[in-house]
Amino acid sequence: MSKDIKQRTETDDIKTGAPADDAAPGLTDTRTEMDRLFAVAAKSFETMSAGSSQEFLKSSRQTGGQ
Amino acid sequence: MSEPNCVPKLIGGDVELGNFIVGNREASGKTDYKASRLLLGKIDGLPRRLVPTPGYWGNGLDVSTGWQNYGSDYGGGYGLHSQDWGRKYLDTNGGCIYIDLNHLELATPEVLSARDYQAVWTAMLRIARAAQVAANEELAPDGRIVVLANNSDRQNNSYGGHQSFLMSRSAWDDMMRQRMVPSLFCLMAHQVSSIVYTGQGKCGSENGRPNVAFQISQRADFIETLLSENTTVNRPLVNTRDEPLCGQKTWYGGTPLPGDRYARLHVIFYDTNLAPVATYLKVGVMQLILTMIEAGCIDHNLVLENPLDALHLWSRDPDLNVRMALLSGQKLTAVELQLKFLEQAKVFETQGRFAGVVADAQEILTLWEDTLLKLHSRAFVSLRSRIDWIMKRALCEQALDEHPDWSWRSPELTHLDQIYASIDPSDGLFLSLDAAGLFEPVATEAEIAHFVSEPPVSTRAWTRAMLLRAAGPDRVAHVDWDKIELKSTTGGYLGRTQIRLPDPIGATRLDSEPIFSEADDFSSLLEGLRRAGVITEPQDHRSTGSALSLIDSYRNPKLNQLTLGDSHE
Repeated sequence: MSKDIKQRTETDDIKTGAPADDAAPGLTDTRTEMDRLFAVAAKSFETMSAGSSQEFLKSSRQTGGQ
Repeated sequence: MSEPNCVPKLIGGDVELGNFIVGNREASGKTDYKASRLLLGKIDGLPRRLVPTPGYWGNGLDVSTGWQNYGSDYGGGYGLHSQDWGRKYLDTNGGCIYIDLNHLELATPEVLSARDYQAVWTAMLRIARAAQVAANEELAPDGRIVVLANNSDRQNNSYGGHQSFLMSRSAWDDMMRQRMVPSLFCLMAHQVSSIVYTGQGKCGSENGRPNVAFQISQRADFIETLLSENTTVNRPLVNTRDEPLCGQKTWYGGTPLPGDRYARLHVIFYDTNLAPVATYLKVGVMQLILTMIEAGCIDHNLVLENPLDALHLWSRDPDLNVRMALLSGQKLTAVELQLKFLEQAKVFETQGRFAGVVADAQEILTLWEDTLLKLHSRAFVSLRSRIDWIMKRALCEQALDEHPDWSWRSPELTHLDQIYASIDPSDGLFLSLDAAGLFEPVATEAEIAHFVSEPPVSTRAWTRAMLLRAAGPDRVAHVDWDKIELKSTTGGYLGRTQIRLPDPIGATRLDSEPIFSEADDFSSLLEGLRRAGVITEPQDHRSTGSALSLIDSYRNPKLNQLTLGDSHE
């Protein structure tokens, strides 16, 4: 555990390729990583339409819980 | 050497899931009632009051109405209208699953480390997913149950992802009853500022709050007061529910019992997390903060002038720029305030004072510091793999780029926001991203898989699970966190036996395994556990079997309620 986390925190920026402009405010991106993220999520986006999303949200009403 | 006055920071979670049915043309209005009961019907647990087995416990659960015929065991209708319904303890990992206000609620077994908590929370989600698959097979073709590990339906209804932390009774009383305001307000300041790594993020606002495109915390809109026992309305930053789940207190003096020594801090504030690092930090850092509060070593200058305002403004500040005033007059961002807490915790650690109280304290500190420094420098790209709201915000912004006709208020964005938390890999965005390796792991796959079928070894959850296995479904009448009640040979209340597990950090595998190994039968197992002090007898009577004790329990409504009802997490 300790080794895992230590190595991860030490090399994180190298592994994720955090760019120099990452220090700037806002969600600055590397195109490659964003493309990869979006490729993973694309299937969900593609099936969405205003109609299907409204239907989903209408069905999703819940009882208030704790 | 453990810090005096501090107790090991045991952790448990009780997390309500969103559950509803899509594609059911006959459904009108809410479907959470039916969805939650279909899901619970697919959970195998004890006592098996809800398993629809015709002819044994009655006629089973009518999922269209939720009405359960329990047969003669409880009489028709016991518990049908209670908020907390149908609780089933798992003989696999020692946790339990039930329905709370039409939400399937997952309660993890007690664990001692943040790493184990992350593993067992993920394991509980997998158990819920297996129930979802089975329930959907039964439901088809009349729709599909969707299950979301989040905290609101984006229609002004919130449901909680709670954690419990073991505290010393004296520290809890000091904070809650003696109104040690500085400690209490330090706790609030920590919680409020920690949303920068514990928020799941959501599009828009709810509960009458001013509109916003995106905010960090799902729960912030629903936190309306500082301190209260409430959990369903007027929700507080700090919940004062005093329910230790550690057995009885000493009645007339004598040796202190676990019920005298321990209290449970019930935290209803946090968002449910899916990102492993966020889950780990949420509970791990809380362990550190509570230890410092218990030790009386928290800096009382770290108190916000207005914690509720800070929560609501910081939640709406995903660029992390807003500064809020402390009572000292200093103005800090949420991350800067967290860095102050970190600074104190590091000093505490260098003095060795987390030893024996918080498992893996150094690892928690390392990851906390690294995450805060990245937040401080707005290194959002590298934090997507750790923090839910940052990942979700990136996805939403990318979706808006790709679909210029969408806006933050579009139903597509809210839909995307919701399915981030779906536990179905076919549409769950978190699960898809995690499967693609885009989230940093904490627990290993082997650790998670272990907790699907096995209990934690270092808490009473181990003995609870093993006793449920040894007793089997025919013997178990009632289970709670700190006791198991066995049926009498006649099946009625008379002659029931109570097995008490009052010490949450006792009855570990180390304590119990040799006795389980050596016992020839169930009776000798119980006798061995009693002799070793692993299980205890009720203080007032040896078993609930005597007619006198039964009559007494009915005379005392409170005792009766405790015996028959389920505890609320």
